[in-house]
Amino acid sequence: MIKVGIIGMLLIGLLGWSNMKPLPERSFVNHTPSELEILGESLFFDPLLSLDESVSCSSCHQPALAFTDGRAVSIGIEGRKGVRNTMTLVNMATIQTGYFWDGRVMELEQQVLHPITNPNEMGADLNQVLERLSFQPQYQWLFDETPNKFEGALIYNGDKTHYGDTPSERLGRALAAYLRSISLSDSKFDRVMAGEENFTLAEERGWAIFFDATDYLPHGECSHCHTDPLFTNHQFFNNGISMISASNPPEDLGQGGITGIPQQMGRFRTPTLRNIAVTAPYMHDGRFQTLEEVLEHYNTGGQKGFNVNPNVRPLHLSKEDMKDLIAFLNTLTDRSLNPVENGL
Amino acid sequence: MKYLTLLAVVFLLWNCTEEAAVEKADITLTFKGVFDDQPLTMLSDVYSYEDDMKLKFQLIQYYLSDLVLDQSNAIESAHQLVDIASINFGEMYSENLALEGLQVTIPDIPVGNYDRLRYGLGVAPDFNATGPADYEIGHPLSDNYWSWAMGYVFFKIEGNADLEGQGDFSEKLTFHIGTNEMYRSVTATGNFEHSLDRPLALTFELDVYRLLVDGEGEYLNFRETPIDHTNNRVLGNKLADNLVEAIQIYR
Repeated sequence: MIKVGIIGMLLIGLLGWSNMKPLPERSFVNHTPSELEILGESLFFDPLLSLDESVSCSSCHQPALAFTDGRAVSIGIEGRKGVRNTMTLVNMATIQTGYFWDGRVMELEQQVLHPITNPNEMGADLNQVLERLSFQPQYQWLFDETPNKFEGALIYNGDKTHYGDTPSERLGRALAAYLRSISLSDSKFDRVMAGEENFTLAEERGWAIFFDATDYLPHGECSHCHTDPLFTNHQFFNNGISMISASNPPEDLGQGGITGIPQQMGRFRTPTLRNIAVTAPYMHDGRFQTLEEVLEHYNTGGQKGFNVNPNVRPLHLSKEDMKDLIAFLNTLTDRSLNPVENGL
Repeated sequence: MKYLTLLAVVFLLWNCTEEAAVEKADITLTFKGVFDDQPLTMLSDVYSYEDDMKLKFQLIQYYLSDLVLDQSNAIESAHQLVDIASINFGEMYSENLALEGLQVTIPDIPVGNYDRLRYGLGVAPDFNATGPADYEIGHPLSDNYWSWAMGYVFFKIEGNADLEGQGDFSEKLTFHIGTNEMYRSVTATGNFEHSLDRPLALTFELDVYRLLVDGEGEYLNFRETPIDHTNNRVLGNKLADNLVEAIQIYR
């Protein structure tokens, strides 16, 4: 890219932003939900979906934390610990490369059923859950033999002849419909892009480092994978948090554990950085408690490994650089999740 | 318009309106990568490079724009096969996969004695003026975008180099090249006859060695430059020129 001075670069950038489009218009907060989404929302918050009726989807996916839980790894029924950090559910409608940290499930309608039966999460038997739900008046659509009650809710289930309509498939459809409605794109970053606000000097500087926008500042190398506007490219990478070699495979194989492809060993989904300030701890195993720790990791260039993404390299960021980078990352928090912006 | 997905190759096809009487057949496009005479694999094979350097690759990706099949001596004979495609060799983990390449079928192209193929390497300026938010997820242009520069990365070379012959491949290589200045238009002439009994099947073969080393033997020296994100315009243009020469088309 043609490099200009920092001030000139920022001017170019700001002029450019006014022409950029934000995320597709879908304000979750102001969105009028469909009947199916309302049903899905009710199920999402209902502990009837767990074995002992003690936890719901929302136990780990708490709206106030951008649908995460603040823990290193999730805690399920009877205090059972999961193995991975709870991912945010924001903007899941944009994912097409498989769900979970390892991308093992391609359809959201199927993904939403996994935690219900995972022994470390909700630990239930799906048939048992459905039997329970059948006694609840608000969930009768799941068992209603009249098809197509919710127009447009049918999904293609892959075999070209059958459109899923069993109670468990409807359960998946309802939950998925709710998750797809969770779209947050009203952060300060979005408003700056729309020309409605301005960054502070620290935020601007952090933005420039994040996007490698000038040679007058160090390059953060962040945007190769955390591509805006979603701040993820939805791909899977080894970001160097564990030493990996053919003779020293990682404890958690990530994507490689699903595909069996050695080159994908230790690769995990690039998480979105939207609302990153409220979704600590970080990484697939929640090993980093703060953004400072995350940046320290990347600043060192990470651990060695044959498939560590080459964009993960020593960055030579100063304390001030990292502070400004975090200032920029804080602008990615949605207004609805920001207590100050909400006047709280 | 409609688009197809095949492995990592995503094509946006032109939805042409044709007269019913015209005879048509499908055209097959195959995209392969090599390094000199070896199949191009990711995170697998080791490639010997200049000055005793050894290379391994993690990602080779480029954009192909506005691929048009044409007859030089006929009016209204042009047929756009592809308007934008991302050719991504990132999952070519074995030589078998590399030899197969990435393949896509372009349906219903009128038969004819075509003799010219026009295409662009990189993202054509009209597309480069758009951004990911203009496209749905999965579209070739939903990724590889520099928002601060309002343009796409036209091609990427990522991998590792062993500079000292120790086998550790510790030098990380990333080259991300873009901007309209580095877009290249190419016209290839030859026999591209497309008939019902011999439908056109074209292979685009990218030689990554030729991408890194020009015809004069001048090579990208990773000891001096392991990374460039179009910071160096001379280098960016050089690689863009090399890319033109690095792609051979055969049927």
